[in-house]
Amino acid sequence: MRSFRSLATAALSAILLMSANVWAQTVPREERIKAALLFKLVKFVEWPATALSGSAPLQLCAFGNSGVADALAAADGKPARDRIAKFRKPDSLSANDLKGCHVLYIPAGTRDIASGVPPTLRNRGGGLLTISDQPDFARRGGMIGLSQGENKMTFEINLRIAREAGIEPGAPLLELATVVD
Amino acid sequence: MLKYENNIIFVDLIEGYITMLREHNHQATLSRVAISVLLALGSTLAFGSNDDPFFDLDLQEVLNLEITSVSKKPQTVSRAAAAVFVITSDDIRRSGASSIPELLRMAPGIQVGQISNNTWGVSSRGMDGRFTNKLLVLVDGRSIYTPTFSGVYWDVQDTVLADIERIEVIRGPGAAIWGANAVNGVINIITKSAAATQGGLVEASAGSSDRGTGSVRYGGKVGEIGHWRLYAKGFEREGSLVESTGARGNDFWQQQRVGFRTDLTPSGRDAVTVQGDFYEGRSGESAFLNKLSAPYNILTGTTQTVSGGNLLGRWQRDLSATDSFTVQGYFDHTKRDWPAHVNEVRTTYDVDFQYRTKRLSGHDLVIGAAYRLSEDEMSASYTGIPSNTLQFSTFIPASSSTSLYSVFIQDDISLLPKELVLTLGTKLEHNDYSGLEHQPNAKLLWTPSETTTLWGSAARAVRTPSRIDAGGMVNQTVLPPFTSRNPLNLPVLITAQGRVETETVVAYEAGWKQRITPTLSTDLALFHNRYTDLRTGLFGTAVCQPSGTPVSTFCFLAPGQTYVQQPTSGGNLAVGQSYGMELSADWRVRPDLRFQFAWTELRIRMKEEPSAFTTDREGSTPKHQLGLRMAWNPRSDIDVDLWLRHVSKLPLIAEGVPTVPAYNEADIRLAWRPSKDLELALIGRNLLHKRHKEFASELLDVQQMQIERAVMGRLSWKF
Repeated sequence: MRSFRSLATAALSAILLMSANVWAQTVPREERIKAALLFKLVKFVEWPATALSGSAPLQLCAFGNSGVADALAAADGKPARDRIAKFRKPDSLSANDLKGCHVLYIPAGTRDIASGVPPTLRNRGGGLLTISDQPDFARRGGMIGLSQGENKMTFEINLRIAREAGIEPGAPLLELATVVD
Repeated sequence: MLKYENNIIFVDLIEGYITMLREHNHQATLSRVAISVLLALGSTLAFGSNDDPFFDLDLQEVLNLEITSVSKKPQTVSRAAAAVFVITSDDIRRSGASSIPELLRMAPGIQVGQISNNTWGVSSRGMDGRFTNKLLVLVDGRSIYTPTFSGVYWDVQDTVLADIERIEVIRGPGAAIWGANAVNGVINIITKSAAATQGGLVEASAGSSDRGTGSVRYGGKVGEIGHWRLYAKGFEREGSLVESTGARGNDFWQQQRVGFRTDLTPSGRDAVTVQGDFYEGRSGESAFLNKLSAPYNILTGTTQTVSGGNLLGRWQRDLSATDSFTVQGYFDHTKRDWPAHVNEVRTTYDVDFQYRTKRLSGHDLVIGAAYRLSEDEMSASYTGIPSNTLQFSTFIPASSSTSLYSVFIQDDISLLPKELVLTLGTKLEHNDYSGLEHQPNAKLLWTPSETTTLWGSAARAVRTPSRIDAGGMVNQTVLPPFTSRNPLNLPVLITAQGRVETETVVAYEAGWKQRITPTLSTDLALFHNRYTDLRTGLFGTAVCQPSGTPVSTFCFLAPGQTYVQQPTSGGNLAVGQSYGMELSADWRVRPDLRFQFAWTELRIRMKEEPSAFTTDREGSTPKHQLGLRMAWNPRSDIDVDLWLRHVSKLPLIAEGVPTVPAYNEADIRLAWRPSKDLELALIGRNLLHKRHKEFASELLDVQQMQIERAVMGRLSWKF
């Protein structure tokens, strides 16, 4: 009985270990690139003082489950701009759950943005930078849309919508992006 | 994730100690502590060094990272309560295919039978044929299902394949949204937005059956509000082989087309698309023609002359956070001069309106209305053939104008937020042939976790009569005298005429989509279809012509008689059932290696009234189909793609067509990108056999053809 139990324990541990390893290794490259792009964009964005003040951490929020979220989680605790990045997964896209988020990543295919970005995600002066790989995201009410170019990641910025939210993308960012509005 | 996970494990560890202290049960808690320690250790191994090196690059470097294409398709489990398979632009590129029907072979549940080098039978869930009538196909929201014979003229459906964003293949009825004829499936071919096709793309290919294909596409901006693209494409392909003689067939294929697409966002809440295409070309056939004098059956090459154009506009507007609408209109004009079949001119006008609201909490409601006007002019075609050749089809009246109007409603009702969704919908559609048709659908979607989707559906759908069903005459074939199928001294002409009414299916489906590991996901669908009022022919009394007296009077011995007519009358005298399973699996072994597997099982049973025969043959459907695709990048600039297929035998496509044996085939594509803008590919298709037979036309109007092995080279250059 005792040996059975320790065998079971060992087997269980092995399975858990393996699955943990598999998971870590297999966030697809594309998703990792998106996460890295998202993390690097932050450096060139100015938030309104009302949204980002003092030495409060910069909150990177990823809605839902996605490879990008898994990869972005590793940015938690890294220095971003003049502060520390904090990773968080909000439970919903309600204003309450998003409170404190500076960047919000919404994975493509999310139902809530299927027919455009709801106005709750673009409050005037709200300082929430919305990013998604949903096709035409930046053309349908989002701020930064990630898309695949020639086997590389590219991004589109909707400058008007970003500015409405009080977010000012820096010149280096605008140079690298396709500005759609 | 590192910190987060470790924290949890640390908490777990402390809990373990507390439990141990409390319970003094060393045995149980020690193993628990052991697990915790192991886990903590494991997660450190797994995540501890998980400082993604990508985070250390600067922005420009991140943008320069190459995405290995295998991970294009999102790995989330589809949340649709339907058997949906998506062919992505990456799948399209890596398939090496040069036509749309070839791409559709990827999808489980879809049967693609190549009849000749420009003709395919494409069906969903069985009943395949050149004139498959239970599958609806749309290109960017424009129906390409022809109401002439039913089915799709695949030889005029094309574009720059690299400009296709995705092809959604939905098996099972889609009639509650898309309307009549979406009986066994809907295929949505969706092209990329103009914004996604900026800059230039030149593609050229040539090979053993491809005498030359070239396309140019260029995209630019419309001021600050949108993008445009223009394309031009032309190709010329060789025929396949005539089975009986081994000679080169006349099924060459030559076409040129131009098109454009503009996507505008005049404001943050409006999206406007305007697009159009124009094409002309020639599609040859190794035809099997009939006449009433010797030699009765003529094997000859004929040439169809085809042309057409379409213009589509779509406007989507977000009214508020919860409400949006879409208005779409299109115009489509086609011409086809098809020797011995029909000389057809058709113009279609279609407007469509949809309104979506999530204003009611827990509901996602879509309502819509549509109107379509289709005008045609039909005449006989004797282009390039003797004037005493029998026409396969005669349309009565010669020209017609039919309208179709419909309304639909669909509501997604969240029974449990994010977990259980009930979808109820129906479409009411009025057509000029059979009046009002109702096509309801109920679906239940359960997503107990992020990795599991379970769904079930019940739906009713109809196939409405086509032009030939509603007032057409068919001369199917002539059996020469004194042959095995005709012992008489006169030729026997088999004809069909009569009114066919609406066919109906009631379909029950269930599915299970599962992400087994982050890199392995599966999609299983089961279905049971019950068909009623299927189209049939009913054998009538054979009569001598021109006297019209029954053969039983030995009139064929009387002088002056030239042929015996065996009439069949059209009707709806068959019922049928089908059962099937479709399983697909997608396994990304490593970022550079991916396998995709598709398995289809299908059984069909038809029951006809005495002396009637259904035109939906059981024997045109394979019981098993298997497909395995491998996409491998040994280096980031090299693609190695392999595609294996198995299709089991087709016992009887139509009376007079011998069994098509089961076959296995393999395609290989090797591609190299010497620079980021240039790709060179070598493509081998149907490599396992020098030639093989896949399918035949159920109308017996085409000779039995064999498809050859093909090898070609392709160049793609972006600028």
